[in-house]
Amino acid sequence: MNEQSTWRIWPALLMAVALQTTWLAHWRPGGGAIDLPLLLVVSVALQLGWEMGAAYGLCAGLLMGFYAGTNLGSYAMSRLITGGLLGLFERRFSRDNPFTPPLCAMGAVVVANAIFLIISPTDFPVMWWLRYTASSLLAHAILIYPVHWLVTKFILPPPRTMFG
Amino acid sequence: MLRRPAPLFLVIFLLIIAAVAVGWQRSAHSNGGVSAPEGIVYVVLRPVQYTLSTVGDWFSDLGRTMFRRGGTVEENERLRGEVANLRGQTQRLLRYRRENEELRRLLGLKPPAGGTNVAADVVSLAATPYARRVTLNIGTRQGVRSKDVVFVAQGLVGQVVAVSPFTSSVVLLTDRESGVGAMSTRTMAKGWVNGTGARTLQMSFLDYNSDIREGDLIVTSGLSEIFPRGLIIGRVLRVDRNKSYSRLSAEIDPAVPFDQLSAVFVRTGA
Repeated sequence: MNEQSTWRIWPALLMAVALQTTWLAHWRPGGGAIDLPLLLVVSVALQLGWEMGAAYGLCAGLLMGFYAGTNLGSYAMSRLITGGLLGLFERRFSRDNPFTPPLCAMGAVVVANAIFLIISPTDFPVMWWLRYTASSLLAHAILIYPVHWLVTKFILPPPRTMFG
Repeated sequence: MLRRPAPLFLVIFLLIIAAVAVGWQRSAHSNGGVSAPEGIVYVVLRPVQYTLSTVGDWFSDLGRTMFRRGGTVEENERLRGEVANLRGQTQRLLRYRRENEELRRLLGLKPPAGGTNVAADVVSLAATPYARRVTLNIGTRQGVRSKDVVFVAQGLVGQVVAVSPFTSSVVLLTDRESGVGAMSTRTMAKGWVNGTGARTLQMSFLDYNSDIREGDLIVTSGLSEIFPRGLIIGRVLRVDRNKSYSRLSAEIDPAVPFDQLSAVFVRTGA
């Protein structure tokens, strides 16, 4: 039997967090921000389903929370729920549809940020949140393509068949 | 072959992991430390982050040098003049310092808190704009403790909030949960400066009749035991006088370029 090898998603997540906390932290396209670990969660959830999406989202949220130093629970829960929800789409949408990744990425940004805003103990102004979330959407919709391509080609390559 | 876990069991299991991690972090942070999972992640990722930061800084410097090559000679001349001027100022300040120490001794005043300044590199930044924090490459092994003050030549950066043996987490002055007692150097009007999560700071709790104007230099007031007096915070950008509530507040432009932080000083043992 050919089980898909999934171990590469974990070092990929660590690398994404390292990039997020160094280079990408300086990059503010249009006042928004890029969330590379969240894009990985989207891609992995679309490939592996809601169980792995939720577990991967939880790990991504915990890592993000460790580096934020605060609101750990809010980071963990927002990514866990987002990963789980997007994993459910795996069964409803065609993964090969070119519009699925950007739509899911934009949905993930809205859902993750909304959950974070609702459950975070810190008071964030709603107008600031709206501006930040809106300006992050386009960048995530574009960047999901290279991330998704890397995930499907290298991080989660399709299992080899008898003839492949 | 392994069976896939039941959905409800998996959800409960993940929620328990999240709850344990949050509880662990809260408990560790209340003691000024970091939880074991945090410590492990910091240790594992630190070399990667350090390499990425160094490479990023190198490219950034290269880009700056290439684009600003034409102005280097003029800048050098200007900086030479500034160095000569600052040398003279330093000599005068050293004389005043000796005089101040002598006068304090004669008056029987307590000497100001000491401490050692330890240089540190910024190895990582907070992953999202919801928090304004950085991680430094020094920790308890270098004598850093929770609540140590972090600064650069331009002014106050923030405060250490959690320390592991090799790293320290610093909450920046621009973070929403950050705050410091402050005053205007021109009139000594006192207030409270806190972060807004954006690029500027907010000065509040000012007396309504205080004389505060655009361009005033704001420094730490030294009224708290944590921050020493006189560390530069920034300049007043805009004054907001609310007559209905007799409330006076000001928007402060921080002196420290928080987006370009790469190295800082931590005042330890104060």
